Amino acid sequence: MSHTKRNAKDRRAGDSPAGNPAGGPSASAVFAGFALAVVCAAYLVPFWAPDNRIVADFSVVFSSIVLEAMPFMLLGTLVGGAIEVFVSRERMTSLLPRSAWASACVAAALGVLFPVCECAIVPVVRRLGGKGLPAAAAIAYLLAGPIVNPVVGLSTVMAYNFDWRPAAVRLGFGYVIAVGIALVLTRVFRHGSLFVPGIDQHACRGECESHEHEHNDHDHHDHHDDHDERSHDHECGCGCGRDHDHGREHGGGIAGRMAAVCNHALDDFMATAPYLVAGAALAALAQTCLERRLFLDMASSPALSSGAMALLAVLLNLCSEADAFIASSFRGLVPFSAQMVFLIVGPMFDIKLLLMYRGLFRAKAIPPLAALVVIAAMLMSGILEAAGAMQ
Amino acid sequence: MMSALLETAKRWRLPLVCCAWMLCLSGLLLRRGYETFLSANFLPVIALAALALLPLALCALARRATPRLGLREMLGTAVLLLPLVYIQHSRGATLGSGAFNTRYIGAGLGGGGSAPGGLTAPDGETTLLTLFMKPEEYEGKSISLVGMLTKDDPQVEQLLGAKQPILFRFAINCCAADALPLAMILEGVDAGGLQNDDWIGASGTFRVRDTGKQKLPVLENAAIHPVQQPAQPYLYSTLGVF
Repeated sequence: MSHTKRNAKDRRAGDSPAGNPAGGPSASAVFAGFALAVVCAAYLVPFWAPDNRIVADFSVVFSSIVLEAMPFMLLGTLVGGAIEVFVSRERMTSLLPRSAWASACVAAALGVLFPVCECAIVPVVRRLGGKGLPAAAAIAYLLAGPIVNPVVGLSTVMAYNFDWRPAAVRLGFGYVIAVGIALVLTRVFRHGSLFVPGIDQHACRGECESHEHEHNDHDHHDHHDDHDERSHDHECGCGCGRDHDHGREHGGGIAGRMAAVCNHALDDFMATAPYLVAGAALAALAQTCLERRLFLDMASSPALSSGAMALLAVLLNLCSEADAFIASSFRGLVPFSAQMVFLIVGPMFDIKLLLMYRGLFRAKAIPPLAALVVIAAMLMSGILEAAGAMQ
Repeated sequence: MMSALLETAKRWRLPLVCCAWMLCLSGLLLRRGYETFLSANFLPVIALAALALLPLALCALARRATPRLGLREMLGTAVLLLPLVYIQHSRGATLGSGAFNTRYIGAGLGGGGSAPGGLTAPDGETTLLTLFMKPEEYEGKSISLVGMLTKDDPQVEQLLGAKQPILFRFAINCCAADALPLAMILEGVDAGGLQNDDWIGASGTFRVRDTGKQKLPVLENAAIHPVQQPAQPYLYSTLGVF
């Protein structure tokens, strides 16, 4: 049985409300049922306590995070859809160096040319991964893209009163950390065990059993055009997870291709946006209930302050283009190294991203990724302290 | 009956989500309601998102019925529609003293904590932002400004050893989630008749007080009076960065 078909079956089994073969509901079904009950209760809260100050603040912050992130994520899904339809697998793989470290180094700097925020980058990387972008390059772009880009550099310079040094430290360490984590993760996880099914493999690269033909010597879309008449319906390996008429959608001229772009974007939107909303709700809860001065109380030493600022970055879920303004408000209260930890950790790993990564990585890959981000940021903090940077 | 409902849900789930979000964003655009949550710079971004949802909605309508509708799909749909309820609930609302208490870290002038650069105030108007940006220019001068009132911030009590009423306002760069509280201590004020979160106008003499830990902005011999909430409750960045 091909990998893709096996994954498709796995996915269907996981989605089944019927549960496990033993007859009882599966753990995921129980969790989904519980989560559905929580969400239904969340619908009632604004009606139950319309004048409550905490509910009012939560509503404003929750809505703000969602409204700020949703357009970028939506545009990211369209970019991802366009990549899926217009960029061939061969073109994608020919653009980057073959070795993992070299491709990671190049991909980590792509944000300079294609600045993408952390909400938009997840659906883009989903599609890039499905198109054959090496895993190391995909992770490097995912982690570095929201930091190593001109918009973030500019906002950091401005937030620090036009001092270029914090921006240089942030972008430089962001780049190095992203490349390092990408290389470590791809070493630890063997091929195919890092991303969710459909992202780091492709249905039609010689494994598909529904038809026999030569896969290697032609463009992906040519391949679909070739099969217009056969129009094979099968679980698409492009990461959308949907049974659709692949041949007909990607063929049929520009209109057909635009429709395919939108169809892929719709699938990515439905796959990623619920995680974004759930993460935004948790972040809003943290913003509403946690007092920031508690983090200052925790910050009695450089190491503790770096840990506290990393935790704050995870909980606040700020956009990488705005977080420098919050970090700079901590000047004089926490060391510069801790401010930089805040600026590195947030765009790579926060509550919202943690949940959005569920649409990209296998569950077992996310804790090591998060741990590596925090460890690398703490190492950076140590280096900055040792160098006496910005004291 | 049940199977008919299920079939309807399968058929209309995706179009419902897309159309609901498209209508929500369009409504926020038409009434500038997005400014409750976001910087005015987001106008083109929200417009683009509303526009991008249109082809997605059409694609959803053109699709055959979704083959699966399990708990996960129902959960995803419920989660995606949840923010619409909260957006509707928060229309016209602003962050208040609750958010001030959780966010204020005693950001004063110079020494301990400071207002970030790059945030600029509306032309010609004296606001907390202009004071924070150039405190030396206003030292000892009579000023008037508008903000919200809070009377019981524990951080100020800890710094000054006594409860003092505070005038505060939030400065935002992108959205209310990154709103930064800017505050000024009001001296010589009896705020007994006013409540937390009331909008007030305050006038008095501006001073920078050094507490040893921080330099705090203070309005001496202040007089306050209730005012209407300004059209733009937040102070916005004019960087154009988001």
